[in-house]
Amino acid sequence: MGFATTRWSVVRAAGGGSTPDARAALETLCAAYWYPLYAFARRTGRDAQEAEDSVQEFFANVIERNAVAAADPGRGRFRDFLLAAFRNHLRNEAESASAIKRGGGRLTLSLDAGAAEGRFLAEPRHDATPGRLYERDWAIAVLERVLAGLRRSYASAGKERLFDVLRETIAGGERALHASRAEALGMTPGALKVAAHRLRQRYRQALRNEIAATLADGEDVDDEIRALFATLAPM
Amino acid sequence: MSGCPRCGAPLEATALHGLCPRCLLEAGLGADAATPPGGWRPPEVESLNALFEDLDVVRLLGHGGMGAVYEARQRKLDRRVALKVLPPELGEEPGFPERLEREARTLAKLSHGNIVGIHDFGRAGALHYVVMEFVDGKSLRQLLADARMEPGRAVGIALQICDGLHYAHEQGVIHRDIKPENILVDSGGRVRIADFGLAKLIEETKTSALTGPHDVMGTAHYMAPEQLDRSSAIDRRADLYSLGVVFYEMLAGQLPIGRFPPPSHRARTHTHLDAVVLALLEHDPERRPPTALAVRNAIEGSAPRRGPATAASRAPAPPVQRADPARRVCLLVLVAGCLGFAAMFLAWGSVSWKTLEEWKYGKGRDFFGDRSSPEHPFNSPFFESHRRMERPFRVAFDAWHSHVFDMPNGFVGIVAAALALLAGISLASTWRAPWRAYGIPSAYGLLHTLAFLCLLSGNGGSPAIGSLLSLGTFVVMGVAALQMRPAAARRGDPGPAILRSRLVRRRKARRQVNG
Repeated sequence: MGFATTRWSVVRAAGGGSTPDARAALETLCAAYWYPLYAFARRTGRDAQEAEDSVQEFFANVIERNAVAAADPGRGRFRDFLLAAFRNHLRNEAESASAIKRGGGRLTLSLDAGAAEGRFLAEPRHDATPGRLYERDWAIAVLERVLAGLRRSYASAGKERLFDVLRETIAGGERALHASRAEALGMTPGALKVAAHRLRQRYRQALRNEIAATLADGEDVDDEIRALFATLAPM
Repeated sequence: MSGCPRCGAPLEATALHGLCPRCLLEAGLGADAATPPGGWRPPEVESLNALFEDLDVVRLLGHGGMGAVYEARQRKLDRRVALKVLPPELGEEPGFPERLEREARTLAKLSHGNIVGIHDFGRAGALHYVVMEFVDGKSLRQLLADARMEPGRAVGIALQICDGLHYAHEQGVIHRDIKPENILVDSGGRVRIADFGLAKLIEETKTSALTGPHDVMGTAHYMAPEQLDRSSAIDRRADLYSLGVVFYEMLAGQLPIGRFPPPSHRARTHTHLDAVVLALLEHDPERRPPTALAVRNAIEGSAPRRGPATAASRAPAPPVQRADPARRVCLLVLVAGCLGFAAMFLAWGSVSWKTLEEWKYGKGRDFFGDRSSPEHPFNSPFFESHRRMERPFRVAFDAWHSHVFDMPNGFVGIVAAALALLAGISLASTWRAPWRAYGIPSAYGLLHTLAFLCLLSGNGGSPAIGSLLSLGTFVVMGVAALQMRPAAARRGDPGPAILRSRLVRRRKARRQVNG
């Protein structure tokens, strides 16, 4: 995983997609984190087709139109940038759509039953806001990406089964290290323990790299992990 | 939805192959990959062995924000102990050794079968440590992760936690950190509560290094609301809240987070436990049970004797039956009526027959005018017929009064007044003993009405008015009887003390006669 180049800080430093490297990095990052945006769009009242279109169009905009350069420098994280920009995008989309409906932007009464209905439908179903759920989805997307990347690299070494067995030890479970499991893998329990320890280390490194890739320079990975942890608090 | 075996948070099965995202994130914390979360690496077994002369440290059992626990053997006494090493940051805080000493002395006094005892404490090198009883078993956290807990077992564990907590609370010690990690269950099934008072020690010290994610995140779910906002002083009821969370988790397999249903809605547990668990989880400490003993009694008291019952019928501690307003009014009317009768009888009794006759039929002037005049109401046709009607009664009363008993008129009045007073007293005593509402007042009512009728007619009152009044008395009695629930009657209430003693006396007398 080429972490050196697909970093948010690289994109920012280049002022958006102006260099080929930065543009490739932005594309990778966007491709990695489309789902939280899609879920956000769904939660703000769009159906599946609309949400997909919005996200597609949004990425096209971000990558083509160099929206990063216009990004607020205060918003350091890729996560925050993406949500703010996407919100803008959705707002613009809604405005232009309603303008077409109303027949070309003639002034209308601001009391709009349609808008109220739309707002009602968009009310979150839990007491969580779409914004909060977006962060939650983001955290899970990060973790899924890290686990998928690790699994790929284990698979390339032909150790898929080992990874699948040890996956649950990453989060601290020890049940997977049962002797019967080691036997099934043709390993000694001691060797399995060592392998679990190695996986943990690799996982930690991969997670920290992945998160660092979405941060601006000088931001603390541990802080971001804690922030993501907080978004996962039960609602 | 199931719970994460490690942190207990609810899990969504859809993402991450069922792994807990919170634990996954936590595993990524820390700059150095070899440093465990919390920023502190527990010392190696070998280095500890070099520090402790008398101990053979065998292995690390576990570690967290509150320190690391090792299994060890005390050479001199040849016994297994648990060695708890506290995080070194704590020891650097000023005043910590004194606090540790004070706390350890308090804890050393706790000696109870459900509490992990303290053998020793002190300082070795830079490390503060506590030597505790070794419990050969598993923590409740591990048990919950291993398998779904049977409700019967959960109740057994909860009862033992209650015992241990109540003992400690009576000694003035609050645990402050009851959670499945601190509840140990040994191989014999005995529950031992560990780490009493350590939470307080660490809270007081408030080392910044310890306010890392582990401390707050791990245990926040088990903390009482008043503990979390730190605004008010906490007491033993904070432990009871935590016990409620643990109990809920044991029964329902999940933490009670947000708007949670009663345990029986989430798992096949008896509904009778719902009320106990929900009472423990009350946000307001005042509404929780006051002591662990009360919890224990509530759990035991709510055990189903005749199979499962509905939650409503199995509410803990049936509240004392409060007199409802309608019933209270009825009783007041009755008592006031009795007192009124008593006053009336007294008045009538004390006035001589002659005076009465004169009042009613004598000559002279009164409020209505001249008695002898045909205009006077007493000489109206109505009163004439009235007098004709009551004549037989007057004759009968006269006969009873002066010939049979040959008593002064006043005596009858006094007896009647005494009866009425007795009735009032007995009615007042029915306040909390509802069954008497049926028997005693009705009997007295009958008695009163008879006496009243008798006197009224005898003294020239109208029998019609007398019957009306007696009818009214019965109506009031009936209403009172309906207002009162005869629950006490089923419980075999012995009745008012006056009657009881009279009954006893009568029985004694009979026994003497027979013997």
